[in-house]
Amino acid sequence: MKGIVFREFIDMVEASFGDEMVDTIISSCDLESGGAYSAVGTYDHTELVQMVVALSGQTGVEVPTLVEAFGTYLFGRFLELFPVFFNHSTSFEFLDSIHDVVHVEVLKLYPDAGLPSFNSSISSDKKTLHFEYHSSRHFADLAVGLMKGAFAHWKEDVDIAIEDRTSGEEQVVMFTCTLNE
Amino acid sequence: MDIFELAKQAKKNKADADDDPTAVIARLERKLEREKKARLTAEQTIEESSRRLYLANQALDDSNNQLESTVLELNDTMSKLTSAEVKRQATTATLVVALVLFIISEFAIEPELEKSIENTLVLQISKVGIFSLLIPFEIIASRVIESGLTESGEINRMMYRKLLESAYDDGIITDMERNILNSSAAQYGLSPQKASDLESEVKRALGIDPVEQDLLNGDEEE
Repeated sequence: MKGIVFREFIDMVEASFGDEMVDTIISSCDLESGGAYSAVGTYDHTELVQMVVALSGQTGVEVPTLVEAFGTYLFGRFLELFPVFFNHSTSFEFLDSIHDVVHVEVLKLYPDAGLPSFNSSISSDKKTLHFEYHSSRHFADLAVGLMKGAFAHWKEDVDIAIEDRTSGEEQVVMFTCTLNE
Repeated sequence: MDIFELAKQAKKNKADADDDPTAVIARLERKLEREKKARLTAEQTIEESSRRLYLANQALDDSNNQLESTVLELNDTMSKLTSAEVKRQATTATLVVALVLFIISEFAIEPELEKSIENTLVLQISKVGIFSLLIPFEIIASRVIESGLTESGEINRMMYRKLLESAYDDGIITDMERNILNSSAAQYGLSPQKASDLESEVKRALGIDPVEQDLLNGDEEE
């Protein structure tokens, strides 16, 4: 997983829970990197899982809730760091462009990046988005958080129905997003 | 829920943070250590990337040089072929002149000589004399024809024009194109003045703004 995700996670924990919490969770985990992350590096994604679990243990907040909250935070950060990818007029258009545009650009810079893949389609009346998440890293909750961040950014009221379609190693989740007007 | 909301709730359930100065210092030292390590990793990554970039650039340079020498070689072959063609035409012309002179001497001059001179020895000497008189004629005639083909340089100028047109195809002259043009001009026997005249002609014909080009290639203009 790209270092930027780890950096943003650490920054988020520091901003919300304080640097003491960062120190506590890093010390309590057995991290190969020692908790030293650079945005341009690549690290084992299980380190993030360990830290989220530790944060959950420290705060009493459940892991999926934390991961989702991190997703929403991350959306805001991506928006700040890479505004060029967010010039769409609706969240559905943006989400639909991730697999074919955003991830293609990421792979140009980081050919080794292990990215989740998305199959997406927007209904003809533009009210429904089918968004299928595939990843060996099981971060569907992170995807939910990112999607919620997107809906908030475009000021849209969207319901997300989640259907787990995992059958093998890879996590497969179908999100059906419906726009309320 | 927002992470900051979560943090607020979590704080309610927990005792206050440990503010003992020694603990704070130790914490900050660990943080400093992590930041330092992260910086080193980042530097290493950048180092590797710039090395890869340098090598890729090097490879590009190499293939560019190879390409340039291939083009020069091709150009050289092309001009050799052209000069061979010109030489062939000149040889043909010389042979025609020789044939014409031979026919004149054999069928027009010699029968007259045979009629008027009875002595065989004198006749032979006269024949040789006439033949040797014809040699300078032949030489002069073939020189004139040859120079008509080569010194007018029409072919060379045309080839140089073609090169200029393809070089100006994209509107600019790269260093490689300039090298090829210079060496070709020398090969085609074009003076720098003539070459630059041709270049201005081609630029006018292609509608390239001469001022803009002068600014771009200021150091290369005469």
